[in-house]
Amino acid sequence: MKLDLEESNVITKIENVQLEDRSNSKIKTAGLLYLTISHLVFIETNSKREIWIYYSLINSIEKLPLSINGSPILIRTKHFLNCLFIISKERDCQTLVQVLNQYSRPTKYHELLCFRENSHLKKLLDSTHKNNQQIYHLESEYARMGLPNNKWTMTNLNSDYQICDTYPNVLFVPASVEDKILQSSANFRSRGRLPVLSYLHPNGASLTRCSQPLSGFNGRCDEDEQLLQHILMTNENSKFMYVVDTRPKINAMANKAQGKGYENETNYKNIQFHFIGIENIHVMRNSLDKLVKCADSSSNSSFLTELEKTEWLKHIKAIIDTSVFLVEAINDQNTSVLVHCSDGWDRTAQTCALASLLLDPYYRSIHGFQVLIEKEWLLFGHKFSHRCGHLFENDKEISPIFSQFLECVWQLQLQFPCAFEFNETYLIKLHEHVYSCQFGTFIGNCQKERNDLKINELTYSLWDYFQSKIYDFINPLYIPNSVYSNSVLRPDTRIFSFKFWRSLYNRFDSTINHSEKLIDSLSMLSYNTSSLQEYSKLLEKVN
Amino acid sequence: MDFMDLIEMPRVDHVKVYRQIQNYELNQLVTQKLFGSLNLTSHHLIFITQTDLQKPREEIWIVHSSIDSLEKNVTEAKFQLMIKCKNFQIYFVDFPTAYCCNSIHKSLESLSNLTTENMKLPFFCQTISKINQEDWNFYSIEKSYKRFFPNEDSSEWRISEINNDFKISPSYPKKVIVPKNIDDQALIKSSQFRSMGRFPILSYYHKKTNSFILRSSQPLLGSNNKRCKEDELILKCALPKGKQGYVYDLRDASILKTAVSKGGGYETEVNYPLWKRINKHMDRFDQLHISYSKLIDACVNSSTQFFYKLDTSAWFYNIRQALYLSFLIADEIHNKNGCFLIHGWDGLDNTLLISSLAQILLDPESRTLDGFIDLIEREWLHAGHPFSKRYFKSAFGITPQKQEGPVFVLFLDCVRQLCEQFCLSFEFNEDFLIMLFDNLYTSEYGTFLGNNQNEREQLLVSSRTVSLWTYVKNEENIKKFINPLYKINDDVIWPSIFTQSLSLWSNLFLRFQINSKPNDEAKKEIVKLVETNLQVKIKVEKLRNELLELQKEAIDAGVLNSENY
Repeated sequence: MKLDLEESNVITKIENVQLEDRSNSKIKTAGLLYLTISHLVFIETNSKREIWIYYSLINSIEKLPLSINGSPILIRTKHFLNCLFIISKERDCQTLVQVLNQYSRPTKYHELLCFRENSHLKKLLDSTHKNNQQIYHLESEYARMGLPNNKWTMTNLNSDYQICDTYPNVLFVPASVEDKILQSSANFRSRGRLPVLSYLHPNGASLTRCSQPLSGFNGRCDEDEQLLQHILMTNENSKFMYVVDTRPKINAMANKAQGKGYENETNYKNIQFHFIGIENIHVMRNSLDKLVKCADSSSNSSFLTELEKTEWLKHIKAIIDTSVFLVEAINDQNTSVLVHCSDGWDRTAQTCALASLLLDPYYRSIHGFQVLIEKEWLLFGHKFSHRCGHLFENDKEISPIFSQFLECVWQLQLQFPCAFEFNETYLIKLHEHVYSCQFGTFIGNCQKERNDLKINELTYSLWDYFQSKIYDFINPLYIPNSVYSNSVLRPDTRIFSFKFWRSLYNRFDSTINHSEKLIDSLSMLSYNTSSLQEYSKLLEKVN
Repeated sequence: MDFMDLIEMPRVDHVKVYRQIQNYELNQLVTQKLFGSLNLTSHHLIFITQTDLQKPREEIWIVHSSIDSLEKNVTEAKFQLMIKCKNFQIYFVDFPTAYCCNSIHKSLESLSNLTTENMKLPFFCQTISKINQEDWNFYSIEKSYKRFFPNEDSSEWRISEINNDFKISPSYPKKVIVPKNIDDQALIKSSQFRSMGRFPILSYYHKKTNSFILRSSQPLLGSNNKRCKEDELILKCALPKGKQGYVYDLRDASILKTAVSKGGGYETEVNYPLWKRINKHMDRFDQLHISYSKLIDACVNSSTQFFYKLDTSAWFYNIRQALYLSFLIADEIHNKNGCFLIHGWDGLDNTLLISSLAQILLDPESRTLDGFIDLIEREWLHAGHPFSKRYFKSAFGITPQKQEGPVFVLFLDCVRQLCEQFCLSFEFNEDFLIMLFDNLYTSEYGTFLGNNQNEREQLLVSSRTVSLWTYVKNEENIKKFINPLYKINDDVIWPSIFTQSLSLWSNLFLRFQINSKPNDEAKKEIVKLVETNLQVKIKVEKLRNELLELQKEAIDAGVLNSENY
């Protein structure tokens, strides 16, 4: 969003700065750098072109070796803008680094942008008052699935987050199960994340999720085994169910030594266990680092080989493959699936959310997609603040898990251009604001934490902001009642179906992106049609 | 020779055919197994499934010339033939006996490798539609000349008919555009100094800046450093004052010595002082064939390391290089003062590729359907690109002469990349390019027969076969090839040439592997959006006119005061 420099609090100004063109180092533009309390602003002297960078979006600040022109500083943002500034005075350079380090990653939540006065958002969203924002209720989404019914019920066992502080305060569990069993199962699962309902398919097969069992080498828990039997019994159409461990088996085995691990197959009846092999957060973080470098070196002639080496698309494929496995089990074999990984908040969130999206067309609408993110990611405790590095904390916790989910959805959009109500821009903007900290929606690591931070009272919601710009996000090719928007999606997961997401990873490289974007021209066309329609109605009235 | 001599067994029963087809419901590739009889006719292999109460009879027709390679796999228990087609479709056929398998294999080997142009399919397909001479005369040099030089009197160029009998350059057309001050005698001298007689001729004239592209073949310098005053004069006369001439030699500088030792060569600075020589590497057609085979191999057998295989195929390198060189030329011509002579070895392949791509960037006309057909006629067919030799085999095969090289396929892919990057600026669509690809290797139409105009005239192509453009211009067909979003864009287009900006042509190279249905649906939806928009526009226009009428009536009747309006 465009801001006015005069309205922003400028801390300091740096003169004689050059911005180097990333695709051609010979091209440099001169300008001024302003440091405000929230932004780094570069204003080109000749063209007056402005670049505004939120401190919260800054990913890394790298001082490169001194050159004749001054000290080069490479700033990379979390939404893939790369700027190389050359600052003539060494002292200015030090100031810049110091300010950026101080502001880009605060140590306390309340220092984040979303908790600050924001006149721009206030103007934009004053019709939807802060206290009046769309608040998401888990019950209404389960009601949409026809719950509670005679098989599934809602429990308030976690109403004060007493059995699991990273779960929502209402949970859906088999109606036949006693609290005692749930309690014991929670004790047997890592961080109390017991098996609970994620999605119920119309055929009665369910998608449930949890964390790994604390089985160690030979631990077992009778109640946990019973709970799985209860889940199995809710579905009359199948004599067995799947437990999908989304980790590579070797990782799961390594967890045993720490008293965790995976279910002992002999203890659980009528259950088929599957290891799938999605890599952990550290592998994903490294892969993205490589991908960003690969995309940045734009003169790179062996781009495809470099892309192969990042293994990024292999990871994306693994996530979609796993989700397809869940879809086939639930929809084609009428068989319920319980999904977990280690803590059940990364890979589990990715695959459960994606499988739901493939199974249920509702999640491919703008509203439904938002509900899906609220449910599978926010309420079930994906650690957004840790994974996105909102605060200055442990870097080892940062990982692009949610970004991968967005990319998976983008890959599906590519394969099914008419199946989604929202467009690519929606995903790109969503990706940006998960990191930007302008809105409270993705701040914190779980529902409990967001309640404690009074997010709903003190910050604006991203969903309200998106609602105010909804026309930018509608896919003009969406056909609500076609085969692809009306039924289960079956993506092709052979490797050649996966594409490099240029519009995201090279988002700000105008030399790389296409000059005439299909999506933009189609949006303009639909917009033109609808305004002409309004006009013709007006003319009809006058006539 | 008669076709029947090549067919020993016209029919074999109890044959099984396997092919991969897309199951749209599951969005998966499944192997379809069919039982029936296999029949050989002079031009087709026809497989007919057994009549079955449940299933209707199915027929698969395979044109012999569409077969790229045959692999026989005969063991004690299995008598199988693998048929790989030029359009990348693959069939497996199981025969009841080894004898049948061998016999059919032998027949197909001969039938699919017929080199006699006269026996090719287009000569037997006159009935598909009426032969329309107008379509055969779609391109005329006079029309091009008029377009380049609306005012003939002030033009520095003329049409020469020196090659009217194809004597001085068998691969050139009858008429060519050359500098006005150069007489035909000089052209003859120059043709003797250029490989295959391909002296410098005008390929494109950019009216906006009065810069141009010439093309030719390499000069025949040889080890005793021959020179040709007339050839030098052509280049000198062509270049107006204030312009910088560039010889774009599409070969590595390192290879020039070899070229000279073989009797070829380059334009030396001493003899062509106004022209600056720039060597830019492009893979030659035979290397490109290898690249193409690797690319298709990666697409057909994609399992591990797909992107690495794509990269090592060098197909994207070739696309990037072709777009990059045409970009540089367009930039010089449009923004600076450059004029160009392009050639490589014989000027039959990469020369035409680069020159035609540069025109697509520079010339809005070439981005229309008619303009693009004109470009293909002018810069490929009349320019003597050896279609018959280059496209005798596709990605799975090669003849012992090794004359295959998919330069035109690379051209189509480059154009598709441009269509994708500039989705509004091209009048034709991807389906049009795929249709061209399909007719390149095997066709019912005569357009791509022969290696040059000379050969096509000898074969009487225009009176004995139907032109591909007759098919394209058909009212029903043309609709399929129009981009609904097209808007005239008078500017030069500047493509992005980073690998990230390019894409694999999946609707062609993966055509038998991907589910095209979701994309077809999207295409229909785009057409619908455009149509709705048009209808609303018409409606608004109508209402506005009605309103104006009413206002006029009201004013005339004195109900409204005209000053208020």
